[in-house]
Amino acid sequence: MTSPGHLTDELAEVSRSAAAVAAACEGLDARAVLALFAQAGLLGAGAPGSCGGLDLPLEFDAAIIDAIAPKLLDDPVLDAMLAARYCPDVDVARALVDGRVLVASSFDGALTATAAGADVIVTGTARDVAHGVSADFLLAPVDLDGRELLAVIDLGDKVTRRPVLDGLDPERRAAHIVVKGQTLPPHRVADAAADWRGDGLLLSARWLLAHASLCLGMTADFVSSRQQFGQPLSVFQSVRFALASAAEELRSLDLLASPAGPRADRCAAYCYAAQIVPPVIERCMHLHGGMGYTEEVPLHAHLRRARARILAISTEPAFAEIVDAMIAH
Amino acid sequence: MEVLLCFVELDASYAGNENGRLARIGIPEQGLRSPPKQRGAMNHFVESEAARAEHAARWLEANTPPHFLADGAQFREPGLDEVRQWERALYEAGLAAVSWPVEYGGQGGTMLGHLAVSKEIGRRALPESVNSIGKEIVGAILLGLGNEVQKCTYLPRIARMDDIWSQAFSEPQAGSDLAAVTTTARADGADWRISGQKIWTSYADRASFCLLLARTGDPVQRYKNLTLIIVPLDAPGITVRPIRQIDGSAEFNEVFFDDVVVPMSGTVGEIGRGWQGAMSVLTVERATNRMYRGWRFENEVRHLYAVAGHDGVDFQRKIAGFAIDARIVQRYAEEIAARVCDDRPLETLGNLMKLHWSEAHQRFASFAIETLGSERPGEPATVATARRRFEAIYWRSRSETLIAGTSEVQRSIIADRELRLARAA
Repeated sequence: MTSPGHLTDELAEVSRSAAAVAAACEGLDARAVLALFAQAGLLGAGAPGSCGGLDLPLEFDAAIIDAIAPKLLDDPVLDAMLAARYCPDVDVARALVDGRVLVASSFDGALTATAAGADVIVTGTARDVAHGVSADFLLAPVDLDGRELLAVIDLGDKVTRRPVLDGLDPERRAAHIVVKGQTLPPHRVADAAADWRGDGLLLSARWLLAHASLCLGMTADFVSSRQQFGQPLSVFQSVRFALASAAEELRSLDLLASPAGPRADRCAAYCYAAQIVPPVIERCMHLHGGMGYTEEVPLHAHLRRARARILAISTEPAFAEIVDAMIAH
Repeated sequence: MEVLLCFVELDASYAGNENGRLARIGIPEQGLRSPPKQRGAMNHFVESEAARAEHAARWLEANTPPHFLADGAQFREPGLDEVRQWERALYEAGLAAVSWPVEYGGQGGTMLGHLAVSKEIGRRALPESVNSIGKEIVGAILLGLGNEVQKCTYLPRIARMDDIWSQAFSEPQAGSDLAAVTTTARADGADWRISGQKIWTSYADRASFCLLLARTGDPVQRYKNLTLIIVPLDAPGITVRPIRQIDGSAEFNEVFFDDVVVPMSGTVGEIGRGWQGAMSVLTVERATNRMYRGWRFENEVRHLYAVAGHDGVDFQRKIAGFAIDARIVQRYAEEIAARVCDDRPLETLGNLMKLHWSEAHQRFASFAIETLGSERPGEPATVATARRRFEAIYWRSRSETLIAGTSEVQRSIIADRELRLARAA
């Protein structure tokens, strides 16, 4: 990850800490995973001090994501860190930082709100929400007369969950969440949807990058050691070029998805990640030959995670924003 | 200057951090180290480079001839002399040789200063330099390897556009395999006697000098016994034959050397160590040459979007995809400039940038001509102007995966140095 030189040591420390926690999480469910990460102080890395967080810049969230991708734990952890950073409700944010609640996220912007005095009433359906089956709260943008707000929706009140039969990644336990007129008091909404989405897109891009980088590293090792025709596979130019192209794409994504980069790059980073990461992992699977088609090699799990996340966060609004921001003006 | 501005913002965001909070996630009690000592210098860069960029923008706005702009209604292809005069004016305005030392005719700025100016030049559809080899490749080599006399003699003249330079490296049998060079330079008293043939020698038909890579010893040792030599192109025994290219221009040339005599004082660097010099050229060429490319690419994407008259989802996705490609090339240039200024290694960044730019730009050029289609009766003049521009870009783009190392050469280097893949025993 590209980062300012004077942060390198601290990021490495956080990264090591996250990797150690991740190693202890094998076989645990999402809530237990969150509890361990909270215990280590990692969920609140970016949360405000008022919520018990550390108020650290986004580099730290990105370093944690890079470190935990190998253990495939990232969905709930990524969403929790992002929610802790932006959650308008201080009590929910504190519970998040402490690992006491599971907060799901929806980026698709399909919920609408109407004003009712100081409150707002939210209706609509958030589709394909990861961990929507068991989450306690949903963090999602709501449209209030053309103004986009970030809302915390209580999933125990006036909500129906419809589990999604997810053939791509069954472990996400996704659900469509139908909100039927839930009333939100002022402290449950905030004018932070754009920043939340921007950071969410960036972290998702880094998350996808972490998975693909891991697969590329595994594949580079594999083709360097696997012997066919009396020599390593990596001797063959078609293999070298396929992996070199993948390496170029991932280095390009690394630069574009720098947490220290301009906010305007965040849509671009996610769209590019969504475009290149699945084909990179698929190429890695192909280069593993028949073993890449089995569950004994974990490449398929990374591909499932990547594909499912990209389906859950549509690139269409981000592409439109790129045209508006970078080209049309 | 986005990168550095972000660094400054990041530092500011740390102002409220207390060490104890960091200890909670395993960071030592002393917390974050102090910002680096050069922080003041970085702020200085931000200020001075921002001022340099502003100066460039204002000067270009006031002085660019309207017919130079390929996305403008008054566009007319400028001739060689016009471009040469233009580049001289850029230099006199402080917008060329930005990072060269003042004593050699430069502006005494940094690579970030060079980038700041390059961005402004790239944002406008200006003609390509007719001396980019002199200013960005030969200049860099002379600065790195040349002696004091060579630097004082040649660099100011390159900067002022008094001399155009070319680079005579490739040969008919030494393209991607550059170490196979067979053009020989034989020592004869205080002179070299040169015989052989070069090809793809850009601008040799209009250049005053070329920087020649010649074999000066036993060819069995491929990477040794190669030497860089300055050769005046009006020396007796030199024949230049322009090669007409598919874009209609004739920048490439074959150059024949028939027992050409040049003084040994024109040797650049050590005799027999030209390979190392040539490699430094290619590193420079891939990493810092034409740093404006990402911004010019963005200018082209904007131009196509403005004239295409499409707003469908599929078109938007494709246009946005090319905008992302342009942004990636920009990010590479920013990272490279920052590393040069910090004296950090460039690793394979030049190869990665060159590969991404050339492949993406080629795809974009194809998309542009497909989008604009053929001439239609009654179409706006702006569309006809754009079509001329993008057809020229399309043909030129076919060379981009070849020049400065083919895409295959770039991938080989990435496979070796980035991925460290095992090679044949």
